[in-house]
Amino acid sequence: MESGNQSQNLAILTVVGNRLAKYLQGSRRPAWVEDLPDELLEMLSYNLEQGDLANLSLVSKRTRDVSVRALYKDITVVEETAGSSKALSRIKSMFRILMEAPELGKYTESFTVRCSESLIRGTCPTVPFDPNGKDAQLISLFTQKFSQVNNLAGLGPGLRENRFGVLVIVLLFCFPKLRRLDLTFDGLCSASFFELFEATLKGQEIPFFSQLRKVTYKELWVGPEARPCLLHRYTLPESGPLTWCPTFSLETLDLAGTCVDAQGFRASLALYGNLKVLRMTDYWAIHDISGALYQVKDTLDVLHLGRRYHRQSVPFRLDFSKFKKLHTLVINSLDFPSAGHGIPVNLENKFPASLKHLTFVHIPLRGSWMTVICREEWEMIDDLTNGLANVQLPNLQDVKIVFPNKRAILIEARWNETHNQHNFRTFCRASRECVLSIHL
Amino acid sequence: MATDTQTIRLTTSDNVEMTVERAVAERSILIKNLLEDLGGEQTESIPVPNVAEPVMKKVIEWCEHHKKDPPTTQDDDSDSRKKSTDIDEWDQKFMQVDQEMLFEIILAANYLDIKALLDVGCKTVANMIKGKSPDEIRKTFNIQNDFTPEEEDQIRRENEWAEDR
Repeated sequence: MESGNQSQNLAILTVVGNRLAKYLQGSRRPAWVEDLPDELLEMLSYNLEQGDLANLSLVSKRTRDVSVRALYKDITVVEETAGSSKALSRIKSMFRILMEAPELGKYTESFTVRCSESLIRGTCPTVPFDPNGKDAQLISLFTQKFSQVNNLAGLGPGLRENRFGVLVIVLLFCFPKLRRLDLTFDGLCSASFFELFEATLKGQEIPFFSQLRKVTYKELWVGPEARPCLLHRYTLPESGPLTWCPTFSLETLDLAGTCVDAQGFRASLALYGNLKVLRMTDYWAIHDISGALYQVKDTLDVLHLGRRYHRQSVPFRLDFSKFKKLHTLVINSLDFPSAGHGIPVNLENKFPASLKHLTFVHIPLRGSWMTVICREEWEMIDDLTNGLANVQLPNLQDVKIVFPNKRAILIEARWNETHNQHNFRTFCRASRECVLSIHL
Repeated sequence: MATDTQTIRLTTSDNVEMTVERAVAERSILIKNLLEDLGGEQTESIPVPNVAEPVMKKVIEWCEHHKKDPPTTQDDDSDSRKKSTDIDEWDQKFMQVDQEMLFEIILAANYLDIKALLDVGCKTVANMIKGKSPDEIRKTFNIQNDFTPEEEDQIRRENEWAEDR
């Protein structure tokens, strides 16, 4: 009898114990989503639509910090039904918040507006901002701020009238890191950026806009601080309305993270008589860029061709020595291939005498997610740097190799292992990548 | 010469040794690169210090099911792939685990560099968030609200443009 009671008690205890253990196990990670590292939380955020991101940002400070980046990264405003006031009210809300919290604008990389032409041209009725309401203060703040910086005071009246096009323009000034702007009106992209300004400003002369320069292909824009914005306008035919575009004197062209085709790239570069800086990073789909690049060989100072990962394309055969003014060159280490057999790469006459700064972007041989650097890659780098030691570049000041950050620890370990035999001078690790400076 | 039937051994953080088909283990880019760097036949057990046995078992189960999938390309990383929370039916069932395990799977996929599994993990969590109010999200994940009412009001105002669709 007693033993029966004991076993019953034991059974109860086991149940209670299990529940307690389960409870404790459950409470060990009371908020595991918050425990995820930033990069994973961010990745998670990018799977969510704006409404869900807005909700996530209200959950806790931690989720707010991460979701706000995703929330503001790509901003899309669509007028779903012509005449509906939703697009206008969204743009207006955004204007309000960016005037109050301008730091949020720095997360925006892409801005898409799709609406009817009547909305952009201001031919549909709108309700003006209430001059006595809370927004009046924001408008005067905007007018004050931008009239000093960019002489945009002329936008004030349109803004007070709550004009959609004016609000769109104003927002452009709130996104300092904007990389892509996609304006589609009536589904045809019939209005260009200039037309937008023309329509919204009704002929007012505003110095900032007259500084904007335009290209016929893929719509590249360069603002007053040489900050390029790329417009993707997929539906526009090549020979479309953009042929009227004015002349330009573009000096900086940044095609980071952008795919352009060979023909368009060649056509664009042919138009630049004074291009000094060209950056083509991350990726691009041009296999042979030499012909196009030679068009700007007499003006180019800075050329950045450092793709961040291997696209399995054949290294291009570009004769850099033809670029007589080039002082900064960033290239992919695979563009000067080595067999990794201890034979220095022949770099004789490959670079111009003007070269001061040379950087090789190291591309992992086997995919971009590698965390280790393999021996043959290391030897290839070695052959490359030994090849450099054999050439005369009178102005060369520094040579660097940039590695993806994930490999930093292993590269550092490898460097520590071999630095007595090699001529690597310094090692430093930046936040996103690690850089090896080479002493020749 | 590496063949599909070749096996390798992995030692988990709790010191359990597991034998895995090489082709399966190579879904992990970390292990794949390690094996390539070491070259030849691998006789030593490979330590996986950040993953415990129960999680490793799940990861291997996933890798076995997906061993013939084409490798992830960089293009799959493009924005067009994002904002989609569609998950393959088998993966959906696979991910029907408790939150603790889901968390461990995500961390393991990140550590072992199994992009597609990481993606499925993130999409699963995204689906748990989708359509829920902030309060419901807090309840789902047992998250403490650490905002003051004023801060909450401010964020609501900041989010107005995103909610008003």
